[in-house]
Amino acid sequence: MDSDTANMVAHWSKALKASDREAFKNIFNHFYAMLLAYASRILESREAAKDVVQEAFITLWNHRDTVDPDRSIKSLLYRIVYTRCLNQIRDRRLVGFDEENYENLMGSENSEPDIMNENMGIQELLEKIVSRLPERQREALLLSRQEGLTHDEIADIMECKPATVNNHITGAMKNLRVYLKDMNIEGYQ
Amino acid sequence: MKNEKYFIPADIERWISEQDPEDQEIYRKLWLETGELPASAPDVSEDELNEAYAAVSSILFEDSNQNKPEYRGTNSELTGRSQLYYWAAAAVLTIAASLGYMLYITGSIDVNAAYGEQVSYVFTDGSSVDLNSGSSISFRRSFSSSVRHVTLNGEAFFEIGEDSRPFIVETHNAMVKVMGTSFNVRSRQDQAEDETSVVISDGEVEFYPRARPDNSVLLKPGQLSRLKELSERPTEPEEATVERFLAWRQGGLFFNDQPLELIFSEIERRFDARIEANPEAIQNQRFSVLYSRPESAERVLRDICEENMLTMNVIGENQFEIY
Repeated sequence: MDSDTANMVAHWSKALKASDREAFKNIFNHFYAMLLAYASRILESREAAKDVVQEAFITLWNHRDTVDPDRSIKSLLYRIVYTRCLNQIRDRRLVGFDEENYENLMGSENSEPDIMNENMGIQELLEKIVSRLPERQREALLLSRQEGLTHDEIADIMECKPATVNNHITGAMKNLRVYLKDMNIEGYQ
Repeated sequence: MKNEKYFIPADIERWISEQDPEDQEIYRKLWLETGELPASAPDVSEDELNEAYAAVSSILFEDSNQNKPEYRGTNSELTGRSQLYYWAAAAVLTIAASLGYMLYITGSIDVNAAYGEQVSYVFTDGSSVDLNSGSSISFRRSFSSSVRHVTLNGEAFFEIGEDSRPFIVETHNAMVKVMGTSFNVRSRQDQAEDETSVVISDGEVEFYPRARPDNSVLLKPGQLSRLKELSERPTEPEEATVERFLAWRQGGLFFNDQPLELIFSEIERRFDARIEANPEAIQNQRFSVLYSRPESAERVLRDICEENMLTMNVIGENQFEIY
């Protein structure tokens, strides 16, 4: 976020606290697409992600008076979405997820390891390997590298200390490095 | 701290500099490569954005006197305008369903936050409630024309919209009556505690035993009152640090000089944990705890046990033995 955008968001957060619906709408329009992208990746379903993101905004409005204007509304929204996605995934496991209820399933996590071959580009390969990292490591790494969030913001979202975020990310890097080395990928031997 | 794609944050750089010299360049390269991972950004058309906003705003900003249509189990016959309402109802439902669950039985609705979960729910009049772990509310599907009545079992924070009808929260031993305000009610009835306590963050609240509406106390913002078991009258209002009583809404854990037994019960609810504590070992022990964001039951229990010279063993996933 450049500083103009940051100022704008800070301004909306203040107005939101004063129940300004226009500010709420601006926040919605500004963050909806990125949150949808984020939730879609975790849930692997755009339809399920839509529900989660909409709920997140409802929660934001219902808690507008407790929003801390000095803290990032962006990481607050990401945190709500992240928590709810994890809950959904857990609930799916509990009840047996009925795939027919959700269109646009963006490929399933279980389509196992036919995935890797030497002809893949490094990016494609990285994507596959990243998806096999331990959950907290993957989440921290992707929030940092894909969503472009700071350690502090990620700590807020994952409800841990910034130092822990650093550990997750460096742990992920170490794992990636081992994978790439084992696979004899050029430049990583 | 900026996090541009090609910028290596100080913490990461420090870590890299501690690695094997021949690995350092590889890690820098890896950092840049991971920054190129394609963001999964789906395109969102303007129509789609407007539709999503309409769904959300119809839930939040709908005229509170307007009746919502009945929720139906299938959406096959829903079209046009009612489709939008269906969306709204579905989204509200998912809020409850995603965390707890909701039961539609004749005219009555239950919203339940299981152990390890917290649930938010928006009533048809726009008022809302946050339920702490191991808590539930039940109420009639549509509030009556004279009163908005909710039964609470557990702990909840209510934000009540102003309306001509009073809003009444009924607990196992007390009634809390308000017009428009926000407040926290805690009503636990188990071995460790048997009381209802109310803390006000905004507005005014009447608080009285179920059977004795004449013995009410009037609570103002920042005030706390308790009603023990079957006592005839709530305690006189006292000043309280409201944020601490509401800490649970932000994931916090706060206890001021409470029996360990009560604290353990709350940790069980919050983290969906099982704690087997030797009653003799924790008998008559009281403790104060303030965590703004506890990371796990184990962490909190370790701290508590260390302070109280107790021994803790992990005996299973989120299961602990304390003596």
